[in-house]
Amino acid sequence: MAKLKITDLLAKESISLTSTPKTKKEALDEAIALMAKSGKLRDIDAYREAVYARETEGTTGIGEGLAIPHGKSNAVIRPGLAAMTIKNGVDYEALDDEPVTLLFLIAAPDTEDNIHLDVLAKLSVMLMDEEFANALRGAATVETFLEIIDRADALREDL
Amino acid sequence: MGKKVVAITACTTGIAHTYMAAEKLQKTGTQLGYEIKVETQGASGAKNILTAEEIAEADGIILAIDKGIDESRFAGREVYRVKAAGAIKEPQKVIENAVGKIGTEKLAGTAVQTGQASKPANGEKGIKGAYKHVMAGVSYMLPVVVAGGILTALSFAFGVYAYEEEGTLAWALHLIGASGALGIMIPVFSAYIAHSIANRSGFAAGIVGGWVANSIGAGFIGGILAGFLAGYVTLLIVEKLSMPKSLQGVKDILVVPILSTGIVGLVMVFVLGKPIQAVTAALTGFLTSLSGGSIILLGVIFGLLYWDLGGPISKVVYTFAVGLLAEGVYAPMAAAMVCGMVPPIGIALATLLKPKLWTAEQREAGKAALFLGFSFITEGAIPFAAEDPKVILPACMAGSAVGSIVSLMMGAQIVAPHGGLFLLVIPNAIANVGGFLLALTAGAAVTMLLTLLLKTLDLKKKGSK
Repeated sequence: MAKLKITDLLAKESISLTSTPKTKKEALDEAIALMAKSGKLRDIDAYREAVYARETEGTTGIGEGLAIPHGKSNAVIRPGLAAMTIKNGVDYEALDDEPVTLLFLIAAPDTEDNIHLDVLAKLSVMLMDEEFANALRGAATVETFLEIIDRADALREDL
Repeated sequence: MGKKVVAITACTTGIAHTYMAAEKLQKTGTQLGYEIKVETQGASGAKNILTAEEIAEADGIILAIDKGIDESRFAGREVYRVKAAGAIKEPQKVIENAVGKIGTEKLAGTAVQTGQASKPANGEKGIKGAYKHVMAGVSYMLPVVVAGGILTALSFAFGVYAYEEEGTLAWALHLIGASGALGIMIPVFSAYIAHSIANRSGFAAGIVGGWVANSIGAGFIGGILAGFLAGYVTLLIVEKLSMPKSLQGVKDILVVPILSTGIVGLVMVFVLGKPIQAVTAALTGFLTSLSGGSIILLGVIFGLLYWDLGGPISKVVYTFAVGLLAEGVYAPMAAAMVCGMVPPIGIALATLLKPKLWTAEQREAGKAALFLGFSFITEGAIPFAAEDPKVILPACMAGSAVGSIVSLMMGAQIVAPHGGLFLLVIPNAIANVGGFLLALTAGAAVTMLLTLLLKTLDLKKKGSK
């Protein structure tokens, strides 16, 4: 079995490089809509609830312009990602109060499906690398965006 | 070589922050020159698991967790607590505080279950290892015993037969306490002995084996056997049975639980159950042959047979006495009740008289045991006996024997098969109340004194080593 790639979980139609949300709520809702586009969700409202519930436990805006909201719910058909770059940034109540400019939304089904969860965990770790995150912020096209991830993915064989 | 730091990261969903916090701590720690290892407890299970040695050698321990985890591995150590997000935000401060012991918290207890999540097999071998497993089981069983015993005793407060009427509060309390909590105390005990040996994989065989031990009347000793058997059988299956990697999931979910539970259950029923039946039958015959003979001999035999504190052998005495009630012979019932009440009362008095000899947990358990003893719930003594059998068992046997001799000599009689001191309020339930109380006092005093004596000697021996 070929190794599962991060981009296997991130469909083209779930990426937006031109988002301009005004609030955290708008940003989350737009990302959730992007997630739904690639058919990962059985019940968009139930999933939204899971994402918001996670957010009330503590912000997923982890600083340095990055946010990784996520929802684990049986409303998720199969694990997936949605990505947004936000040129002007959005106030996300982040840990460091800086505006968020890169957002990855994670959808995980309510199972212990190890392989996919490991992939999602890998992406989370890779995003801690500022160079990688900045390259993604600068991506002009969805294709470039995916290529950047693939390249970094291949480099981090250790994870 | 740099200072050593270990950490566990865990967030509620276990898919993002767990790993990000781990990465931050790892990178920052390495940059700062620490030797750091981070265990992640995410949604797909624990990874990069800390070994007991690594924890023991660590200069700083970080728990970057947003949810409850099993912290028993860090018992007695200084840990630094922080949210997973906090470790992502300020990894350097977190690490430095953990090593510098700034804002750290000392966890209660002494390191009991070493290497728990690491390799299933615990490093400790022999008696010391076995003791730790029993202790782990006792710590989970204790609250169950206390809850069950006290609730059962409360049901007697409505009258010793009040629980027989269905739907009443007394009936409910008895159901919860006696059938519920006391009914599962042995399974809980076995389950956590097995859990201590073989982690989660051992739990199924442990709890079921314990239940079988209980239902064949094997008592707490049967429960200990079931727990150890379950733990080591599981370990053996996990380690020796190799299956293709693709079938690993099948092995964990189907093969291990079915095999381990089946083997342990069958052993309990056929290897342990049959002999217990045979011994029970033989002892009953023996007791019958004694009745009418020497009172002192019968008293001594009663006390000695009560050595397993409500286990199969004590049950012989108890059933024998209850059987005689139907024939209008009431003195053996009084003696049997004294035998069952003396152990918890005597131990409780020992904890009250010399609190310094006992741990805080034991002192609290002692208070509960006093009440359980008054209610003829011998189980109150079991957690003590399981921890320290060579002190508690002889002390209890001697106390019970003295108590039952006094009871028989004074001609105390009891017409009800249970109830303990609650019988005092029931007219005519006890004949020669004074004799009965004297027997209890004498027995409890012997148990208390012997417990203190043996325990002090034992501690001295350990101290001089």
